[in-house]
Amino acid sequence: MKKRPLHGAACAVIAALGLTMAAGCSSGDGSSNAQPQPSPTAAVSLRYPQFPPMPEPPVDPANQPSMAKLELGTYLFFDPRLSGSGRTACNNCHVFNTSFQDNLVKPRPDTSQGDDFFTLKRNTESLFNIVYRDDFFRDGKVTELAPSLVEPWVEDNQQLGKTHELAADHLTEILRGIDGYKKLFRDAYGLDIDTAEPHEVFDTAGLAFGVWVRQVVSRNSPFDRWNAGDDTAIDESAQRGAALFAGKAGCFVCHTGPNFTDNGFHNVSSAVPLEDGSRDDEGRFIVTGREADRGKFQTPSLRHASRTTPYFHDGSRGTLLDVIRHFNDGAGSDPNRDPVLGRPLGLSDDEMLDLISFIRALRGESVVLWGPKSPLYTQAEVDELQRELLPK
Amino acid sequence: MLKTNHHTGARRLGAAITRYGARALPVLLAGLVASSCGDSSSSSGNPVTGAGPLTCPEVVDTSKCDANAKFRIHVKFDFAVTDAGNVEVVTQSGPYQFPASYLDQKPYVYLFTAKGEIFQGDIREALTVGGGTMQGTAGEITTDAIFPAGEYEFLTFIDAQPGPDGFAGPARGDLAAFDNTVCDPTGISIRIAVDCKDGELTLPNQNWIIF
Repeated sequence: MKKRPLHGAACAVIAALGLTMAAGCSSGDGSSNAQPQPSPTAAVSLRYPQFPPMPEPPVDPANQPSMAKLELGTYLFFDPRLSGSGRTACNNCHVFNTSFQDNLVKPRPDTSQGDDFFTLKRNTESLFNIVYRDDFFRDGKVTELAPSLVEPWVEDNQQLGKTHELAADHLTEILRGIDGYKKLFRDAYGLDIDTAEPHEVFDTAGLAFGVWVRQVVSRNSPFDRWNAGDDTAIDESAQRGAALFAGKAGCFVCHTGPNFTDNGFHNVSSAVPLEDGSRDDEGRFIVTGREADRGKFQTPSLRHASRTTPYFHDGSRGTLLDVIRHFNDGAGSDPNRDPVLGRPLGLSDDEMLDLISFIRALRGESVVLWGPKSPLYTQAEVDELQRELLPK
Repeated sequence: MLKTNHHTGARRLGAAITRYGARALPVLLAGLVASSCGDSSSSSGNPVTGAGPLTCPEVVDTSKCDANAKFRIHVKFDFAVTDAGNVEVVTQSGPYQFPASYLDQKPYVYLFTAKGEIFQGDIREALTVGGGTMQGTAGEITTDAIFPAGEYEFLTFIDAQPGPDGFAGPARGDLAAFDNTVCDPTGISIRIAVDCKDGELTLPNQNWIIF
């Protein structure tokens, strides 16, 4: 076995992914949701059948993808005018060429919120593979894809209004004043934004995002190729990491299935509760009001996670080593910590590095995004993209 | 000559690590930034491929270089100052200005890694690490001659404000360098090419984001 002694000084803490290790995570609130169904080829003698390849992105039967919808979603995503300050696009935080997130501990919201370096409460989530999810945001406060994607317009992120009604009014007013959007909405959804009710415009924008985000998929990773039989797709360290992940380290208990998440909610004690027992962010409790949900957050996918530093809901861990060490050391002291956590995992320095190698091997093919005004795409590429995006 | 430390290899972490503590650098450098910073239509660096694996063009033809040659990398922090005496950098939601004096005598740390790699805590992945102190609005780094021809990632961070634990990580008011215009950017680093000669890198205002 290749020895890789970890420099003592480098043993920084762990951070964030919600890598839940040890013997078995409870399903939290019992909402350990259904996994996306693997593609038919997934059943073919995988080394780790519990981690099949990602299937095709699901299609909402009521919102069938089309190029017109994709184009509308693309323009909306990149348009900074659709914000309180007029300069904060979705892309400002979910940066399209850096794994659809910002690598910040916490994002700085739209400047219409003031210029005092106010930051949002939570670390920006990557948009990768959210199309497969059932619950959205770290606390699962939205349970449908399209509404989740327009929610930032109501939040401090982009702040078009403090309520959905106000944000819809503001959005509609802006869109009506921009050349091009009338045709985009009409072509995509047959909606006349001049006469439509603001809530219709708002909801329709969400539908367009729902089509757009089908592009944002991380799959076909080196691990997937190795898992399917390509012996050379990942190195020995990543192979050892896979074995640890699926065994001794226990990560698989929560990070399972094709998307390496159980879609459940867990308290992994990433933040120490305050003296009075409360937490800066109570997570799932905010949605459900259930005491058992205090400090719980949704298990993130690990696909592409090696590029989305820093980690955890509060961005409190800077590296994967920080995250793994957190669990290896017993995962903190939150009294509501998931019961499967709490005992040291006994991972050596070498083993922790092998886990990092494995997580790096989960980085899928980079997304080719069709951006507005991009000179980098030819018609042939758009045609190819169209074939890729539209339902078979 | 500006005050700069640079050390090569995992076993020589250098004065910056010694000074700031073993845990500081990984946390610091991994918490850097990626942002399009308001330039919503910027898509330079976007891979020009159809569906399928990303292929970034090779910037350096290493076959033209002496395979045994090792090169230095020179880096300059080059903040321009406005007529009003301010430095303008970017934030996630637009430009931001602060007095030029804000940067003077502030410490910075840096490391180099292989192309495309995000530092994940194992200091041995760093090709070299070090730190220095800003002199006015300028900083300058010269590494040892350790880099074969190729491309590398440069991660750096100016500790302009003490964090909650002194120097524990990027805090409000700190600065970090990034460049998302390259092919497949990491989001937290500057890519530099070493093309059969010493590498040169200058970081103007637009490469800096303030937390």
